[in-house]
Amino acid sequence: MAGSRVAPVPFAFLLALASEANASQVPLVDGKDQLKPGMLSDLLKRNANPEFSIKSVEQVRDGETTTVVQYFRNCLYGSWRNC
Amino acid sequence: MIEPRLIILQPTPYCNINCSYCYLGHRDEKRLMAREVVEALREKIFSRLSPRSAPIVVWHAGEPTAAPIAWYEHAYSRLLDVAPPRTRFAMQSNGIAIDDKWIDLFRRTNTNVGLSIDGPQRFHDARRRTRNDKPTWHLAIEALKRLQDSGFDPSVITVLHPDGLECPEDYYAFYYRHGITQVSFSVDELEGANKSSSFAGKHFKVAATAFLLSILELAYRDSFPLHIREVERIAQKLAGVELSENEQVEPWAAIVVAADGRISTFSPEFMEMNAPAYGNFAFGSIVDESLEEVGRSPAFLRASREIAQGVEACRKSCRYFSVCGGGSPVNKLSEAGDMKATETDFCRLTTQASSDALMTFIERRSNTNPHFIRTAVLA
Repeated sequence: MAGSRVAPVPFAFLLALASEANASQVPLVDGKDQLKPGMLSDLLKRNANPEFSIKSVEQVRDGETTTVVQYFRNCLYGSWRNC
Repeated sequence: MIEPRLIILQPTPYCNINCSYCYLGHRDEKRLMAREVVEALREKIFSRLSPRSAPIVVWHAGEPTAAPIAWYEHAYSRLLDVAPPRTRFAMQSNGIAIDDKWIDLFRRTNTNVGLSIDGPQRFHDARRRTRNDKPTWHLAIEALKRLQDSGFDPSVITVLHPDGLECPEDYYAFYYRHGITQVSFSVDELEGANKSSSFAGKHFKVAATAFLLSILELAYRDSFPLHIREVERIAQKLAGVELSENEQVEPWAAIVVAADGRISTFSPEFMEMNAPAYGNFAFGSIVDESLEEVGRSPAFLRASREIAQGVEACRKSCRYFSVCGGGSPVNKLSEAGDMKATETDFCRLTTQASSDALMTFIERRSNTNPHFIRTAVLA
């Protein structure tokens, strides 16, 4: 593996970790249901471990920025795929 | 004042390589953006940016390193001093020409770099070829290493074809071995100069979902912090983190300026479309017109209206709408011939596959033992 850097935990992993910790409390979604913004937010709120909180991820990622999306540095929050 | 989120600038349409799936129709033209276009950018766009805006300015298509470093020195000198403090610059490159002089420019101008590398060598070299039909993987990897050794952490765009979907382990091993932690998967798209897609007419959504899910599982197993951009966006959205909406369906959220000063908006690839009914999506000239004048052109108004109708149709019919925001107008037009259309192959292979992979990945965790990782360290 090249380089020698510290990288933050991907948000998908954060949700997975919280899901493991909550076991059966994960809100399963039927394949026909609408996906809704915030539908998995309870996963993070329910967990007492601050390591799973959004705030902790912000701190891990940049130290001083306010949104977790800062990590992907090119075209990081838009939907365009070609940059 | 204007508040675009994305500003795509094309210093030259020329590209120094010749990928088989390229959508750029003018990649043989060695034109360079003239100084009068840079001055128009300064006056009509950068000087008018809201002080609170935080646009990403991307040097893009053709190959931006085909323009001389001296050209960028001049452009930065005319744009940086009027840009709002939160403006960020980036370049998307094939990496082939990136040497220490380019890295010095990136460092001095605080420019982030994204590289286009199609994963393992056999997949990359099958399609990303020089103009003399030579492979380019080793050149791109040299650029990656040079950037990493200089303290940069380039993101990577990988374009997938059907053969790659069968080999997620190989792709994962490639990212792991090369310390690539930010990857965006695109697909071979029917678009612009690329008149056919290897995904056309078949249903690859299940395979694309399985591919992404496998890579997520492998990275999670190894605590390797691989950020798959499409998955990350959806994960954040489902977790309730505020994100900006789909800039491709919002007028002037993305501004595209070609080397000759033509200006467009919505999907940046529109600039490559041959679509006379919409003025080829070149809605005006940044040199000759103001943004307000461009916004009154019949082609712009027609495109705006049809794109909005397409978004509404998506809202009514698609379960992925809330994580997508109405799709990509250029793919609707390219695949369905109509921007009022809804689901495309591109939707199925990107947003839908990413959403399904993520939901399955998370649901599986509810049946596994707790597995704690902290900030991962690449050693």
